[in-house]
Amino acid sequence: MNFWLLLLISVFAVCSSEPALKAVVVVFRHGDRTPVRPYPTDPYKNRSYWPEDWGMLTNTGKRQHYELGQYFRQRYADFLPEEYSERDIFVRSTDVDRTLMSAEADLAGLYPPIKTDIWDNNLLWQPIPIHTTPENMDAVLAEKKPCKKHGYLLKQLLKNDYFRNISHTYHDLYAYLTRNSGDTISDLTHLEYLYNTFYIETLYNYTLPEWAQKVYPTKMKYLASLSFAINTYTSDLARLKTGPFFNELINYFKNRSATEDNAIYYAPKFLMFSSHDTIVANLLNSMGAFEYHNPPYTATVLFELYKSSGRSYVKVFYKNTTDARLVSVHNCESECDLEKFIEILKPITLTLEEWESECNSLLFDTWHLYLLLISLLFFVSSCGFYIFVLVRNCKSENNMYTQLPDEECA
Amino acid sequence: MILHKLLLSIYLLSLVQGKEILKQIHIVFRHGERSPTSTYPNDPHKNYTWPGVGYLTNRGKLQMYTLGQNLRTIYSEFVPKYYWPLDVNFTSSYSDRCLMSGQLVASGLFPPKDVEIWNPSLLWQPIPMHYLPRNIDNLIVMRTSCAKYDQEFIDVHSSAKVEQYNKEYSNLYKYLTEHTGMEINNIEAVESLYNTLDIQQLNNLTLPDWVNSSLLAEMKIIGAQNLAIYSETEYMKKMKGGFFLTTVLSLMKRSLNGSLVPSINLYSAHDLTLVHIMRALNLVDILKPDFGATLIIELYENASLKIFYLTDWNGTPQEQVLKECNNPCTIEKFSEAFKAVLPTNWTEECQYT
Repeated sequence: MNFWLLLLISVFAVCSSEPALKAVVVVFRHGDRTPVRPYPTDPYKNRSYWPEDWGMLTNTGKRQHYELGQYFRQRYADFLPEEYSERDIFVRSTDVDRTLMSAEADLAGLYPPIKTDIWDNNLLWQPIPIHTTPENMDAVLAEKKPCKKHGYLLKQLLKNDYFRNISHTYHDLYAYLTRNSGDTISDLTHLEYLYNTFYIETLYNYTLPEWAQKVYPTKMKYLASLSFAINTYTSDLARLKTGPFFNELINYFKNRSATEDNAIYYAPKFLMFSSHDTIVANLLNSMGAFEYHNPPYTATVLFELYKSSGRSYVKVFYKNTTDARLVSVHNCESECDLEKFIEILKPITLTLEEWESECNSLLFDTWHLYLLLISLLFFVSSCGFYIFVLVRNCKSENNMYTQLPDEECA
Repeated sequence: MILHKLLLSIYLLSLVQGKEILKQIHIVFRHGERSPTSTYPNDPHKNYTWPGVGYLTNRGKLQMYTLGQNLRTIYSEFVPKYYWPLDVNFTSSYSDRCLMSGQLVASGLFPPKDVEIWNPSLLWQPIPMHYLPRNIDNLIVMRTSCAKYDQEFIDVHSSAKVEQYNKEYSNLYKYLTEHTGMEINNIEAVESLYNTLDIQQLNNLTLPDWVNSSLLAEMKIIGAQNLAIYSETEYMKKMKGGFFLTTVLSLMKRSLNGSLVPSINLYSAHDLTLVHIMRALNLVDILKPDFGATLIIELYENASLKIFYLTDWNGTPQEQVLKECNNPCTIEKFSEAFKAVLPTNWTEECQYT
């Protein structure tokens, strides 16, 4: 009797084994900030219009991230212990004040100290380390480490028909913005900077100058959101921008997937990355999941790794403003097998070493290869021609006079 | 009270005379109390639960927060009421305990006031900590690879001085080896063991019978001797503490030139950082800095420097007069007096010529 009951229970347990969350990686944009740089004719370019210095996180931004931290606490209540341990979470930020501060505010919401974490009864906050790497050395999170090949490919992309056509179509708009703003607005990126400044000024209830009102937001909106897609527009561009990140993500998921729950040594179960709108957009676009828009403050991409009856799968969410929405990674729907996830992302995944060598290789693409081949061919043929001429001359000269033994052509 | 007022008026008078107007400060502090980073086979407390390995303890957190508050009191005139990111810079080492200590000092130094309060029920505000990767951090960690230094460091280990230490402490090594159940045969191992015992004692863990206060005192001195051999020669001083001083001098010069550089610079560091700097300044021979020990270098409008040392997180600033540079010690005088320990091109000076 007992045996059957046990069997029944265990069969039941196996069949209905709840999928277990094994790892979470979140990448978010910082909170509300002041404009990074006002434009020359900006009526609000005086610092006194703003609560903080240029590009700094504001109190609103701090609150937004504090709330996002509380959201994580709620969402992962059964997953992430309430007491802080460096064995559970690893936090990394780009080396910029507003992202470092956003991460701190976020953690204040995620880990209000309880029990033994309380070190001062009068201040219910606890310090949590945030790791960072100087931007020009950071190819994983800031995506700012220089990559020659990416720069080259991007330039090529913007020369193609589609983008040339856009430049043509919007030529007047660019000229209009340049004339009125006092800044040279001649590409998508600079247009987006300006769009962003307008956005923030409207958010702070400042009336835009009349010339700006004529084009903001409607006429600029599409271009501004397109600017978020260009850095990862093709598979090659995506690989060189987000490849090292996805490599890290995949290795981490593999590692966590293989880790037993009772293992003594294990990677933290939660990775938090504090970053920028461009990074959020780049990650989504690389996964074929970017709907053109400007990622708002605290926009978050959530990667969740589950394990159920020995099967590991990934769910990716995008939390735009309200709740997290499931996104499909290159059409790998909802519960994407880890193996398949890895396979799908393979073309855009590469190690830092591979990234380094690809970024610095001189043979950027087939076009360069052709050029090299043609020049090689030209070189060989001209050499051949020269030798041919030389030999013929020698031969013809041979007929004219008796050659001395140590003379050329011998 | 009268004396206090007198002192205050003298201070104010000096301000009026324009002699003693503070321009820029550099504050280097050791992190707060941490958990042990090692144990030994016979350790009766080896299964004690600490918060992480080499992590800040709650007491360590409070120490750092208090240090921040103390600095606010010391510099009440100089440190502005509000945190201004462009005027304040925190640099930390890569290590968690320093990153956390930095955040805590920042919280004590800049509790949010008025418009800074973003959450009325939490009087704290985020302040960013910057740092360089460990392998290139010459400023705080000071363990960047440097061929010539690394060779000199190896040479020091076979020097007469270290041989003398080993001879002198051979009985102690034997004693410690016997009781700990682990081989202890150099001053570094003694230092490491001392750190563990010291922290355990601070946390009211009863130390085994073979440990007593005079033994701990002797071990502490040996620990300090161990920290000093990292900057045994003049060249070694130059490549470690000297690099820090060069960086500080350059920030000071820029400040005097009117460049926008932070006037409040804080460095969340390790014991070795302080030893390196203090030894480069020729202020100490050996030193084993306590938790929260702090070195302050002040720059005044008249281009003179003053140096202070706080022995721990709750210490009072003791002025450290440089034998080589005083009355007043101007940047110019300082650069000349410490020329031998100020690198001009660190990378080049690491190579053999």
